[in-house]
Amino acid sequence: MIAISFTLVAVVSMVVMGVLLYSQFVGNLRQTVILENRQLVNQIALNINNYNARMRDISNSMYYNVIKKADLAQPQPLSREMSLIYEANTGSLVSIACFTEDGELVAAAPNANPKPDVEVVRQEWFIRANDVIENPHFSTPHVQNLFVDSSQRHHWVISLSRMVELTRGGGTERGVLLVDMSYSGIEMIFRQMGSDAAGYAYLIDKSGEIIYHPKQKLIFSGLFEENNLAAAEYVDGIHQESFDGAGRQVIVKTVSYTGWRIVSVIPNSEFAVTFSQLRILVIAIVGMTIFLVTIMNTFVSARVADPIKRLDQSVGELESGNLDLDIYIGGPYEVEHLGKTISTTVSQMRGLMDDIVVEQEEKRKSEFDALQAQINPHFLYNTLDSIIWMIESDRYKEAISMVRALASLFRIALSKGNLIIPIRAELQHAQHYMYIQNIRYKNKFTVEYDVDPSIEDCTTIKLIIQPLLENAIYHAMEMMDGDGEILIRGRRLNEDIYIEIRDNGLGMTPEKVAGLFSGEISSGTKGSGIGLKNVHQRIQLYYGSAYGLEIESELDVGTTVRIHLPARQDEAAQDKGVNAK
Amino acid sequence: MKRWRGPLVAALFFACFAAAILWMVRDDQAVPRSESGIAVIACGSNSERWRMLDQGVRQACVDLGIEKPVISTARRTGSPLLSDLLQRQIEGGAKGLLIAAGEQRYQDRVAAAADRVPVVLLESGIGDTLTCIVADNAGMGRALAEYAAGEPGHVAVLASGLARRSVAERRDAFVQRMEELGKPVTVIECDNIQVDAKSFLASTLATHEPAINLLAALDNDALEMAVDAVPAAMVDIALCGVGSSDKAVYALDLGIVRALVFQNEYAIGYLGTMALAAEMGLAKAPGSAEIQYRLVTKETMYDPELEQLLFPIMQ
Repeated sequence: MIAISFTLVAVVSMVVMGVLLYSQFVGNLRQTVILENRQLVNQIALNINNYNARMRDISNSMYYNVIKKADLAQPQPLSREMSLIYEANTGSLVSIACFTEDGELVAAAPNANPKPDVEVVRQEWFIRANDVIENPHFSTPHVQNLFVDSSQRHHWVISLSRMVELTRGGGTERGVLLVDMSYSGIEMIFRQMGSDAAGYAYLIDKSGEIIYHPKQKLIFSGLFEENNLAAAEYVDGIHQESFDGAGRQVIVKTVSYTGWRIVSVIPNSEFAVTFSQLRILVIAIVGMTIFLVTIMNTFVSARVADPIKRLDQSVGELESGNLDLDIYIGGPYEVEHLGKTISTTVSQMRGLMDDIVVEQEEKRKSEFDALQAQINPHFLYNTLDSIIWMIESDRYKEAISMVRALASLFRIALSKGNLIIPIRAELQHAQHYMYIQNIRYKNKFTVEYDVDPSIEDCTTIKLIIQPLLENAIYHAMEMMDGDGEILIRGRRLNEDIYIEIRDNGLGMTPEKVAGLFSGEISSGTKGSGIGLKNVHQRIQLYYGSAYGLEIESELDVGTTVRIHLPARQDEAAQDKGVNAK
Repeated sequence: MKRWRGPLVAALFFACFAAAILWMVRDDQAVPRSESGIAVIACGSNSERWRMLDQGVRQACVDLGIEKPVISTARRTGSPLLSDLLQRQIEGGAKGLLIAAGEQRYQDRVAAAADRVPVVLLESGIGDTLTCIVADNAGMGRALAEYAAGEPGHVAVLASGLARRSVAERRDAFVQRMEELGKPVTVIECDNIQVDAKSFLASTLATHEPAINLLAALDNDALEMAVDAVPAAMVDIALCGVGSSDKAVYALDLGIVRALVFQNEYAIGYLGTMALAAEMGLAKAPGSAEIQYRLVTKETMYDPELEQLLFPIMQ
C-alpha cells in the first residue's frame, strides 16, 4: 500500500511535470525555430540588398564613370570601358547594354550582336526606365531576349534599367542603360538558407508575383500552389495563416528599395514532426523515471513496510490473547523503537496480568474459604447432642460409630487443606453425613447410591454433595409423612460428569426453583446454611460458568438437583493405578 | 538465486523498455538513402535533351527525401543493350526504374525488369500493364496539324522514331487532323533506311514534288535532324515540330522553326517519380494530373507564362 501510494504520487508528479516541461519546451522550440528563421530571413534580405546594391553600383559606375564622360559622336565610345566593367563582374553579370531613346544599341558587353527583329522599345524594362526617369528599375526574372547567343543558351536575368543622359557631339539626348544580372545569384542566396532553415522561403515582388521559389517549376506546372498573392498583403512580421488546408507560420520581410518581399514559410506539420519526436522523448524520459521510481519505491517501501507488517502481526497475535509471544523488533529506527516500546508494554501487561491472576486466585480462595466456613454449626451441635444422648443411654457402640462417622466427616471435610478431592472421597463424605443423619432421624429416610465407578477417580471440589443432601433432608424429607427416599446417582457423559441428588420430597414450584440461584428465596432457617447458591457459585468459580447446578422439581413429586462437573482424572489415583499395574 | 530474481527481472524490464524507447526515438534519416534509390533510363537521346525531365525527377526526390538518381541515356540503345542497362541498374541497387521514351520493341526486356523492380514509363508507353506518365500525344499531333494547316504551301510530316508509341500516336493524329482540315500531307518515312537519315531527309526535301513548304517533325530528335537537314537541302522550307531542347528553342528564336509543340517534361519527371515511389511503397500515389502541352511560336515564346515552361531555370 505504501509502495502504491508512493508510486501513485510519483507517477502523477512525473506526468504533470512531463506535460509542463513538454508544453514549455514546445513553446520555446517553436519560438526558437521562428526566431532562427527570422534571422535567416534578415540575412537573406541583407544578401539581396547587397545583390541589388551591386547592380546599382555597376549601373552607377557605368553611368557616372563611363557614359557621362563619353561622346557618342566618337567611334565606339563606350565599348572598351563597358567590357572592362563586365569583365570585373563576369560572375554575376549576363550583359550590360546602352540604348538610345529610340532603342538603337549604343554599346553592349559581352555580346554586341542583337537579335534583328527584337523591338527594344517595347520591352518592359525599357518602358519603365522611360516612365520614371529618376530611379533605377528592377525587373522580375525573365529570359533575356536581346542578343544572339552562339551557345544556343537562354539566360534568366534580373534587369536593372535606368534613364541616362547621352552626349553626342556636345548635345545631350536620353538613353537607357540596362544591366542584366544573372538570376542564379538570387537562387544561390536562397539555396544557402534552404539547408539551414525549417520550411522554405520565397521571394515575391510588390504585387505578389514570384521572383524566386524553391518549387517554382512545380508552381508553373500547376503541381504546387503558393499563397504568394496573400503574402503580398502582409505587413512585415510573423503571421499565422491557413493555406491548402494546412496551418503554417509565415515570416515576411520587405527588401528595401525594390519592395521585394521575402516570405519564409514553416508548415505546422514540420513542427508536428519535431514535436512528435520530442513528445516521444519526453514520454520516454518520464516513463523511464516512473519505472525507476516504481522500482525504488517498491524497494524502499518494502524496507519500511515489511518490519511494520511483522510488527502488525505481532500486535495481531497479542490482540488474540497470546501474551507469551516475542514482539518483533527490527527495521528502521522508528519501527524498531516502536517494537521495543510495544514489547516493553507487553512485558508490563504480562506482569500486571500475572499479578491480577494471583490476586484473583487469592480472592477466589478467600471467597471459597469463606463459603466453606459457612457450614451450619447446628449440625455439629445436634450431632454431639445425639452422641451425648447415646452415651447417657449406654448405647456406647452407636455413640462410637457416630463419633467415628463424625470424625471421618471432618477428616474428609478438611482433606489436609486440599480444595480438590476425588469424587470417591466426596461420596464417602456424603455417606458419613447420611449415616449420622439417619441415626438422628431414626431411619426416617433411605439413601440409595447409583454411581458409575469410573467417575470415582475423577476429582471435584469438596463439600458439594453434602449441602444438597442437607437441603433434601431439611426441606424435602423432614415434613413428609411417609418414608423419604434419596437417590444419589453419578454418570459420565463424554467429558462431563453428572451427579444427581434426587428426593421424593415436597418439591418446589418453578418460581421457587428460579429464585434459588438469584438469592431471592432463602433456603430457610434450617440446614447447613451453605445452600444451593453456595455450591453453584463454588463450582462456577472453580470450573467456569459452563458448570454448576441444574434443578428439576415438581410439587408433591420430588426434586432432582444435578451437579455438572468436568471429567478430570485424579492424578494421584492414576499414579496409584499405574504403580499397581 | 531467489534473492536476485527480482532485481534481474527489473533490470530485464528496464533494458526492454529502454530498447523500445531508443527504437521509437531513432533517427529515421539514418536509414541509408541508397536503399530507396531509383534509376532513370532515357532512350534514344542525350542527357541534355532530358534536362527538364531530370529536374522534375530531382525535385520529386527532394520532396520524397530519397537519393537523387543520375539519368542514364543511350542514343542508340538496341534491345540487347537496353537489357544490359536495365540489368546493371537493378544489380547496382536500384529499387525502381523510370524508363523514358522507351520503344515498343523493348517490351520483353522492360517486362522482365518489371518482374524484379517497380517500373514506371515516361513520355511513351510500352505494353499495357505498366504505369505510364505521358502527355496527350494525339492532342499534340492535332495541335501541330492545326498550326501546319494554317500555313501556306505543301506540308510534309517527318515520320521518324515511330517505334515509340508516343511518336506514332502523334503521327496518326497529325495525319488524321490534316485530312479533316482538307490539307494534303506528305509523310516522309525515315525509319529503317539504309543510308544516313539526315542525308536522306536533305535529299528528299530537295527533290520532293510537289515542293515542300512546311515540314513537321513529331519528336525532338526528328526536329533537330530537320533543322540540320534543311540548310543542307538548300531549300526554303519552314519547320515546325514537337520538342523543347535548347537547339529546337534556339531554332525557334532564330525563326528556323516556326512553331513548337512542347510537353511539360518537368511534370512528367516529377509525377513519374512520385508514381514510382508509390509503387515502391515510399509515398502515396499522386492524384491524376494532366500533363500540359503548349504550342509556342517565335512571337509568343517570351510570354511570361510560356517562358517559365520553355526555358529551364537551373535549380
